[in-house]
Amino acid sequence: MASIANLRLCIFSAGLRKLNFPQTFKDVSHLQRQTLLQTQLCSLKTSAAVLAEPKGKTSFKRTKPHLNIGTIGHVDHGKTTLTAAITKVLSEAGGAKFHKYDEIDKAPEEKKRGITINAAHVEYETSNRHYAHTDCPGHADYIKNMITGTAQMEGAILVVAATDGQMPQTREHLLLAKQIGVDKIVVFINKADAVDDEVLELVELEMREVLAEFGFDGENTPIIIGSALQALEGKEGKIGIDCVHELLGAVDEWIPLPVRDLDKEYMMPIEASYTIQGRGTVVSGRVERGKIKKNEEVELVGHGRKIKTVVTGLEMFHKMLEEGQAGDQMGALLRNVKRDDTKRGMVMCKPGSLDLHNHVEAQVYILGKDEGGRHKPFTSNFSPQMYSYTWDVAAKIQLIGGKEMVMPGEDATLNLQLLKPMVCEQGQRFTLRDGKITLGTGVITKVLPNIEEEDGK
Amino acid sequence: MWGGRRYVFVNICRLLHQSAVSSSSVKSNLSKLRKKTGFSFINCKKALEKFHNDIEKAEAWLKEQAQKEGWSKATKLKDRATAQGVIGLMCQDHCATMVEVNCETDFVARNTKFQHFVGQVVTSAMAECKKTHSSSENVLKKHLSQEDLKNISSHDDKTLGEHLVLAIGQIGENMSLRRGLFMRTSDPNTIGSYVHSALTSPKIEQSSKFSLGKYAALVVFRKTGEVHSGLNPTDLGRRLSQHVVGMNPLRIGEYTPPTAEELEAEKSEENEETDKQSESEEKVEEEMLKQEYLLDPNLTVGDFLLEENVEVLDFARYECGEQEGTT
Repeated sequence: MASIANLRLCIFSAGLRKLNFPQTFKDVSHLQRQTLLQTQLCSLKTSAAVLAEPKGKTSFKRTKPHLNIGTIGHVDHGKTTLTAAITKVLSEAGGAKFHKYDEIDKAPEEKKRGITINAAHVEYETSNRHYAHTDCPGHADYIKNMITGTAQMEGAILVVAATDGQMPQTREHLLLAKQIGVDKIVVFINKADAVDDEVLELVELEMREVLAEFGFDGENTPIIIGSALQALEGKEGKIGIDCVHELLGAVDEWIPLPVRDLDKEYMMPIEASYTIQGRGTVVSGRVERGKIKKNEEVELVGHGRKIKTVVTGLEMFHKMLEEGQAGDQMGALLRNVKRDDTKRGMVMCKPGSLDLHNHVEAQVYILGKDEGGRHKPFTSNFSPQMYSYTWDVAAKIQLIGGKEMVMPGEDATLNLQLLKPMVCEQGQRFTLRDGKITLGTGVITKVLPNIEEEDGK
Repeated sequence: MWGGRRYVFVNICRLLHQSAVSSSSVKSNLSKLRKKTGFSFINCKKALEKFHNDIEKAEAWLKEQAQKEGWSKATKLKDRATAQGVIGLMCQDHCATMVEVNCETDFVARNTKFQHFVGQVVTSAMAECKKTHSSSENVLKKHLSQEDLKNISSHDDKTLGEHLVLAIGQIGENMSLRRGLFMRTSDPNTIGSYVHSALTSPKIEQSSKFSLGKYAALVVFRKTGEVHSGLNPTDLGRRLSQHVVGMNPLRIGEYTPPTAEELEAEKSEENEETDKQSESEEKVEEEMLKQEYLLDPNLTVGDFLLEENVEVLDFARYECGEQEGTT
């Protein structure tokens, strides 16, 4: 028992130790995890009913469900004005801090996982939800956002000026939305004060057509008409402040919430394993998603192996744990498993939910020279080390789609062949490193059929 | 001819569709005009009002106005930075042309209208330069400035500058014809080219002789004997140009075959493994012949050329949006 407690520090530092850069996977949901952790601790305390009363601590408030959205549209159609107007209008209801146009427009470039992304982030909340709102100047920046997962957009507001209607590049905007996995869009027709109702009707008609053409729901997509400038200036009326409320109402309703990590199937990447004398083998790690209880069946998958077992005990922060949840840093005691059978890099999951794969398609962003990447390009058959969750393995690159090489600072879609079968699934993020250099970062877009190993192992 | 007919046909279909949707004739005309011309709603409306809902006159007027509109838009946007864009390259019997056209966002760089425009620029520049530079010099390399490019006339007698303004008017972003390069040589020299691209839509590529991308390079070379690997000149030129795009050499440099001592040193270096490797990687080789060959890192470019009996005479590299002076 006591020896498990001693492991606490190792468990804690394991996550940080793994790589040289901070783990900023899913920055936002990290916040949620923290709060989850707190509730967890509280419930633990009450159930144990032996601990002293917490002093001077603010009580945990259940936050509203969180969603990431972004604005896309032509440079002159008022994306930034709209973003400023949203924060202005919501700040009056206490749901946001007001950001001036200039603050959003001149947001400094930021470095996420060593990658420079030009993006403005603001946050606000409606009565139903909390939003992180991203605004990027270019296609490449949205792609980087998507690949690194720093602000995975779950919905988008497409801004179009009524004076111009859709532009030739509106097609590229919609293609981008598809590419980064946005299925639901809300359209905001801006500058409504500059045209009459006839034109507005036609712009709307045209937008519905083009939405349908790109596979969005052209018929039912909410289209809100207004003037971001009037709303920003605080003018009352249908195309002033009201249009912002109407827009946010439509976003609340039309863009669905993603499945919470907590509601997914249980999964924990193993960071370390230990032998506890007289008790058995304990594996530790941070629960990535889902929940787990004592006596549940689990499967250990990774390094080409699969082992079925049962969890006979759970622990977190020296304490026995009733139920482990997404975000918990915990240890699990396993029945009839030798320590030699477990290994860092394996994943503990619900039996049958995850499988081993050695061939995947991925979208990657390769760091530029200034971002600390290589100064030269690479071609097919290049074989860097691939890091994901707690595992790392050599992976051979095959370029696809007629591409012959990838330059630093570019994104690309490519196939990766892993030296050993590991846990891979769609949407899983990873980092590629070559020697001491971080080469780039990516996300698995498709799991391909396994490649039989040549030596028939 | 066929394209034109088809275009009209599609439009008629759209018109029929449109008139069924909207009731008022003004509105349906506005919609028709917008579909047909692609000009902004506000200008279509202005045109219809001016000619009392006469769609043909309105259309003619809009086309006339387009140039003027473009100018005013271009003047309005002229101070905005154009950091994105596309490089167009065309290579034809001993002549090659490269141009860089910039725009504001990479959304526009991916747009087919913009890419068509870049194609027009490179084709016109090629035609013009072929006429004016018919010298029989060994290697002719002519840089084209913004002004040079703007004054080149396109096949329809408008200058590229006028076309630029039209494109700005239509797409609504500032654009510039940043630079161009014309190269000409004669037998036995060959020009090889490579375009590194994530942008080109296959539709454009098939129907024309130019290619578009983010990086492009030209290499002028000459065979000095039998090509060892049996590569044809086009493939060879393509590989050398790909190397130039990838490794960004600043000059050709001189090839010195490795001496016995150096070979010895290299061997021992290999044995010492990673530490030395990372040290040597920090220093970036700028001379092409001393660089390690992109497609076979065991060779330097010099080794490769010696093996293939090829001599590189000149090269040029464009990277979209790069700072001037690095080439």
